[in-house]
Amino acid sequence: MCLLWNLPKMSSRTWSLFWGSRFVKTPLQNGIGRYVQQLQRITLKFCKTHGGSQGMRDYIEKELIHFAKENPGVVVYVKPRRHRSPCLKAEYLNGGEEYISMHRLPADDIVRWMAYLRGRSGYPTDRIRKDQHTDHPSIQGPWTPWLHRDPQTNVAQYPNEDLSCVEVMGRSATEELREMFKKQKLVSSYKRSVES
Amino acid sequence: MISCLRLVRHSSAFKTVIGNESAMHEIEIRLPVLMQLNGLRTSPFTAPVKHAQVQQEVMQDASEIHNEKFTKNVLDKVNHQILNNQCGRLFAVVYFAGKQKLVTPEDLVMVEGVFPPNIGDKIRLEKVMCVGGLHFTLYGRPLLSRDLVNVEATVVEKNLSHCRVYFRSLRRQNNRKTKFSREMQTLLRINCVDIMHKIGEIREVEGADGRIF
Repeated sequence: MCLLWNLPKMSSRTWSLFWGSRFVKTPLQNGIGRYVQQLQRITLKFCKTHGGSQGMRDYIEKELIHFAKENPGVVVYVKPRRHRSPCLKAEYLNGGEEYISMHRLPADDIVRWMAYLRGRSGYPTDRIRKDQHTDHPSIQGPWTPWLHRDPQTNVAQYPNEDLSCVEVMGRSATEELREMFKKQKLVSSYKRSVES
Repeated sequence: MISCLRLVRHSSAFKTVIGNESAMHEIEIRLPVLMQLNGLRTSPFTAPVKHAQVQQEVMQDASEIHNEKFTKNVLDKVNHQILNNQCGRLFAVVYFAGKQKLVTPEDLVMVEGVFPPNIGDKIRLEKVMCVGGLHFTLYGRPLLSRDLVNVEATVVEKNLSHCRVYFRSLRRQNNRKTKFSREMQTLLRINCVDIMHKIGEIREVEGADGRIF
């Protein structure tokens, strides 16, 4: 974060370019067939005496047992060490790691950061270029200018007056829907008048 | 007309209004002329016209019959594909988190913003606007029936986005603000897009509970 504060003039676009970008992906086709939890190990490091670890100690006393029960697939290590600030270290199935400092954070915040680490897939956080990915971009075939066209245009002689004149369009779907709605209204108002 | 006038003449009210006996006498002398005019006017009473009773017959439009045949033909073809599992890969346009998304099985869809489901949860996307295969497309107006289409998804990842920097400044004003934010991003894997029953028929029972459209 201190790096961020030193560079206030950088626009978000420049910043994103600096950090790189990627498309949405999941490791090992996760979710097809069944879902596999990606978080494998999580280590909570803290000091038993220092005030900076107070929140972490509270968390370990009250909340950690619930986390372990809810996530039987995650190995939880608790590592006390003297006179060092607390942190969380998460390791994922695809080899990804994340380290977050928990210095002077209350137990509530640590609950949230644990949930965040639990939900991740292990890929580094990048700017996401598109919110969707598909292996089958078109099912009925991609659109071309000749889609639903009269095949006689292939054999016509050009320049052709009939084919180059303005096409007379029929009623649009919107217009038709509007008319249907109007009719419905008329019927309902008529029914109301009959009832009253 | 005459009798009417005479009646009026003898009434006391008439006398008070007109008050002139000689004038009334003149009117009586002219009465035959009035009678002649009277015959030219249409009589106040006309006998009601009796229409002959007509039996109405419903004639079906030839083009309508043709259209019905065409519709039935198309529906039969689509139903044949649905029943024999010949649709191939299906796609659906799903209205989801304020956006319309075109999805097909095994797709990844990301939802940005607050989204309650947790990782590993299976959810069903119920607002389906359109479903299609290789040879046909079914459109809802605006939504397809919940019983007709089944689109399921699994929550694969819940993450925070990269840190976005919102920086603004006014030149020479000593005014600059920087904000950092990380939005919640949820990644969904589409598991299936299925058409559950035949189309073009009215179902006996439809599940109507819990519908919020």
